[in-house]
Amino acid sequence: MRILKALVHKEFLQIIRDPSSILIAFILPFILITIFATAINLDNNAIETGLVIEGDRQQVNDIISSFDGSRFLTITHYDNRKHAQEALVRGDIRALVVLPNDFAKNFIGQQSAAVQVIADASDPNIALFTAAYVQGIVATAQKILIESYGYQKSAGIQIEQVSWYNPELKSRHFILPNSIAIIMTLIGMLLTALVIAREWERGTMESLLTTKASKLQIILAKYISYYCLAILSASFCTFLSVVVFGVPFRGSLAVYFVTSSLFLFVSIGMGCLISTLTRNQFLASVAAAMFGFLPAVILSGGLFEISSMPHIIQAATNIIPATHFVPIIKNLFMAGNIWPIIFGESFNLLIFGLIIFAVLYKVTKERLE
Amino acid sequence: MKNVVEITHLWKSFQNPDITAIKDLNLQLSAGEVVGLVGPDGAGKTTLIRLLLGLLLPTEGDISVLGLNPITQVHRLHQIIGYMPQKFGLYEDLSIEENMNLYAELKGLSQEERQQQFAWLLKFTGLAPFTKRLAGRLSGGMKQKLGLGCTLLGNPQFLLLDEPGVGVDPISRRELMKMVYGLRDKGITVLWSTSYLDEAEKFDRVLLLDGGELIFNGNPKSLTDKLRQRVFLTADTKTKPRKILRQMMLDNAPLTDAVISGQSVRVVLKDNIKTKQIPIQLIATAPRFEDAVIDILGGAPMQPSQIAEQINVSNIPDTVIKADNLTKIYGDFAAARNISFNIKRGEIFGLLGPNGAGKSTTFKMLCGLAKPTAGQGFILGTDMIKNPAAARAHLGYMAQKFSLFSTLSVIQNLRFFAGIYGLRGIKKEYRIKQMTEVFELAPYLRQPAGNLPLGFKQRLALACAIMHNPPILFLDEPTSGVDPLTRREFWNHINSMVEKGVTVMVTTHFMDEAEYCDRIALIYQGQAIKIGTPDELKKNGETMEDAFIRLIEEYNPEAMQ
Amino acid sequence: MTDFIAKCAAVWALVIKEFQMIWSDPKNRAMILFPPLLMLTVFAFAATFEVNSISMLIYDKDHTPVSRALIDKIANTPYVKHIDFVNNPQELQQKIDTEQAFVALTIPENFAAATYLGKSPTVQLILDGRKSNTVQVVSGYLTQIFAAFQYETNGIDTPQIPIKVQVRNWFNPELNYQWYIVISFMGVLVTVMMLAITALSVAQEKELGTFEQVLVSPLKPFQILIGKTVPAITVAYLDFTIMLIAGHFIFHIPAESGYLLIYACIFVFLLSIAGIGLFISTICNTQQQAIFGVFAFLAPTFLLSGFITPIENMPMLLQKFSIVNPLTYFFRLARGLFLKNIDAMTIWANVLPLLIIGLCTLSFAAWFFNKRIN
Repeated sequence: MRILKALVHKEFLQIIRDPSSILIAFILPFILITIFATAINLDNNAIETGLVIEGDRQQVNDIISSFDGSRFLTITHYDNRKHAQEALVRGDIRALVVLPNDFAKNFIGQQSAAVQVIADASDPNIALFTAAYVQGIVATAQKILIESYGYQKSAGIQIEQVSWYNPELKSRHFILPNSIAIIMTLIGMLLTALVIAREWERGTMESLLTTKASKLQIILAKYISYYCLAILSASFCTFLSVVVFGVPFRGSLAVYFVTSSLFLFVSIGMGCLISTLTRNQFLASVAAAMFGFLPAVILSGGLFEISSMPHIIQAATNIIPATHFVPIIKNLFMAGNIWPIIFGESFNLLIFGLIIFAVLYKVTKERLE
Repeated sequence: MKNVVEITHLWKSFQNPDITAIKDLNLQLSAGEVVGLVGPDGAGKTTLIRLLLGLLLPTEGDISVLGLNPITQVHRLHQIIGYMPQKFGLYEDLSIEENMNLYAELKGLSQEERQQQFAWLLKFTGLAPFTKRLAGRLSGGMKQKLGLGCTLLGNPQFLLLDEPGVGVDPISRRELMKMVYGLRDKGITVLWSTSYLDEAEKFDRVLLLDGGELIFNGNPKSLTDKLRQRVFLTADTKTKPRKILRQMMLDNAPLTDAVISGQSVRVVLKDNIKTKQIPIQLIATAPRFEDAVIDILGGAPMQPSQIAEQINVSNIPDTVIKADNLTKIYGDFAAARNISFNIKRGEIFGLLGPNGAGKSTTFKMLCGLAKPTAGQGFILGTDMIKNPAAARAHLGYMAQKFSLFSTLSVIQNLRFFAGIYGLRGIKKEYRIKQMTEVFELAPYLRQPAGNLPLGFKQRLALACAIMHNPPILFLDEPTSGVDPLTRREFWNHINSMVEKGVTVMVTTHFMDEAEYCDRIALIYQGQAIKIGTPDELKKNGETMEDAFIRLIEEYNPEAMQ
Repeated sequence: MTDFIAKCAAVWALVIKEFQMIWSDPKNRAMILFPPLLMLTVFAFAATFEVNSISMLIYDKDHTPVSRALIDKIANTPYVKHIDFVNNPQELQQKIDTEQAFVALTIPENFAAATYLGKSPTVQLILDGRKSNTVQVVSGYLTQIFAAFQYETNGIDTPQIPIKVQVRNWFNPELNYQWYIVISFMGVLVTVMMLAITALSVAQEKELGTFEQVLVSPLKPFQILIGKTVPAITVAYLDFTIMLIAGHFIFHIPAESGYLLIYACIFVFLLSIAGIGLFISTICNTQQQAIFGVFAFLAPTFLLSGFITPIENMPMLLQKFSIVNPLTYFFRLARGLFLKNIDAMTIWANVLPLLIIGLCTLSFAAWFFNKRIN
């Protein structure tokens, strides 16, 4: 126990002495949380859109003002279709709305009038959104028009839409918890991926092996110290999210602490394993980026719906630790203690962590051969 | 009394690369002995130490250390043994105190024990004033002392030191030796591996390993004594000793060893050879352990080096390197102050001095790796600050630790260094071929440089440095940690180049190598406290090491506490 | 003239050495060749905002043929994978809580009656706000289904839409999201690889002590930098080509502007990344610091590049960052070249900033080299 304490103390001193680990543990998370909170916003609300009115502007004034007033689209007016299309190709605008020459005439004549939308589908997601927004604007404008031209109002199925846990469907509310999981992956994996390699390189491992310290103690010391650093960093991120950026937290802090610890148990284990297996900083860092950071962003179910992915990839997401932690953290923030999910995923994390620990113990050598 | 170490029929072989590191070794060490472990590179010294520690497993044979089996009782063994690895095993980003605390805990010391031992160790190592300093900021000598201090925590009964003196100055080495002998009085057994044979000479017992076999085991004097009547100095002090040495090699004189020693050449005659058989007048002198080791290992290479055949550097000015009041200030610390000297064509100029005295700083300012705060450095009349690239084209540079690209093969290293010095086409291929032949690198061409035996690494490093036929060579501790045979071979090449007019600036911690220099600058506390020939530095027959220590004491009486 | 050739030969030697160091280790080779391709493919299939397997709860209080017809209609849409029926609000709450479904539809008792009477029955749609993005898409799908259902059941064309919205999707008519992901990730993955190679190259040599050896050669700092840049760009081109082949054969991405132009423009992008990598490398002393530096640069750059969320949605202050974000220019350039066949002016508008970033970072790295020595 005293040996473990001494080793942990040593790791702490090394962390404190190296400004780059502070950069990764606190400054980078601060930057990332701020970006996630302010810049990563899936509720598109300012899509650059061009508007071309080919006919008489007077008669479609209502529609124009609906477009100009939209909070989803930022409208730029163009004189003619050609200029607007060029702007679309250049990427100045994401989509182009055209009210053709015969629009007003057709509409007043009760014929079907068409609004044309040309979307830049090189970003398909934005193209889809833009089309939907245009449709929404047109529908609203139409209601006004219908009333002013005296068409009959009709009945339809009314939809009363309620969203639970996040009534305004603010993307920040689920992006920030997800980003905390990403940051924890980054710290747990990247920092630890380098430290064991460092001990071998500097020849200190050889010294450690000739003291009373056993390999279990050496491994545990790494786990404990980087766990403390990561949990501090995670607390800092949570504080930022909840207090500064106003994301609700509805679960129990104790559960949050325990499950975060389990998750770090897995990530730190993976980092140590990468370090022990590669013993090469280039490989360790590329591995941490390719198999740690990017999958945590893309495959953990935070940004993209796992159930919509092909089956083989759905299966593969299971070997990414963040996939098991994102449901827990998301629920703790937005819904509360949803026990079946917490227990189920915690169990997965525990098993995952134990397997990694066992493998790590197996591949760590107590001798030089 | 029971033996501390008991080894019977020990074999150790490795698979990759496929070598047998220890061959049928039998050994006993008894309590309270200080035993030196010497031998050429790759002789199996480190392997033996690691086997004793249980860090490696024997292929065959039995080992018992302090009555314990290092294979099965490794944890109990580690509690009563102290080990100092080559890199000292210190955490550079921890302070002296923190390093000691860590190792105290790892050795399981109680609070009182720790208080007691810290007080003693800090006094013993003289580190007490610096306890808050980070280990990474210590000089080599202080690191070494701290390493020993950490190793001594927990009162080990058996101490294993793996080349603690590499890259450390003679003053620190002498202090370390004193410390270790102090331990013997406490009944501690010490096994000390070293490549400094003047150090080994002082041990009670020396183990000489060669190719994994124990070829000598006993008091070094008994080996040295065998060479009485065979060791001489040349009497002619008018002729340049390098000329004499080269002539002797060309004449195929019956010698097992010949090295320059100030104005003379120190020669060891082959067994049963009379002085009459040597056409030069010789004066008898006392043999050293190093002579004996060279002799028992089969003698030094006595063929003149082929390397210099193509070299011609007559068309350069007389003053090759000029240091003019070089000063380097870091913050409020003057690493070098007003250092001035001239180096002439065909001279070997040595920079000597304790670790951290400013040798490296001076060296770096002259080859353009550091910019002087004041003063100027000239290479062939070119200002190193104003036009570094032009001056560097005339330099060959060999860095500490043979900075080769260890993952690249030998031929890839050669091609690279040929390339960056602008060699190309037939000329490049010719030089590479020549280097390969002279340094006998052909069998290793496809091997990664990192896997080469140390001696070959050094050959390759030299080959890379002289590929472009530079008239000036900068050698920064070129032989650190290298065994005497390889060092002789190395100096053989250097000497032959110097004969052709190449100028050499060298730093070293080997005092015998200081003797090879034409002139020496002794750097201490950032100043050149003495510049002169080796014989001018030495007084009334003292050794170079004695002279070194005396000069520093004269300059600063408190230096040696 | 011969002097110039000699200089070139020296730089060439550096290039060859650098390339050998990257390439000699089979582990390195594997790391360079396989993960980018693997990740590109995985991410292309995984990253989609489409929702194609909706798990849905239905609480049918009506139990009439009409409500069942609506349910059938929903069940027959390809997006809906699984429908689960619940009989009370508690069960509904519990199943949403535990994420067994992320949408629930409550059909009121009077649904059939109201439909026959031509009144507007109100159905309740409960969305799981924990997946706000996903459920917004789902809500869109369902609204369409309801409208179609109503038209079929009572023949009323409601709501009357005299205004039609005709949407044409240019450059990617089928709205193939994989094109977007593949084109973007070519840039991201190449960036990861290049930063790792360039940032570690100088730091590694500093640790091994070989850097001094190179510094005392007659090579000037900018020549050393060229020697470090060329191999990294070569490796990046190799990775890029592998991904390009995958893009062409697996994902059928067009190359509207032609591969020649794409290859040429990519060079400027790679130059800018190499510059950043070398800049990080020169200011770091150890490999560990260089790696951390790479991540500290990479993570914000990736998030602010406009890949996940359009730049115009970001706060003004962060939008400014995109002026120096090479990934942003890459995305515009790559989408333009692959899909849009952009004109020379547009190419230039995105190439020029990359060129400036590359030249600035490289000069700064060279300057720092010099400063380090002194």
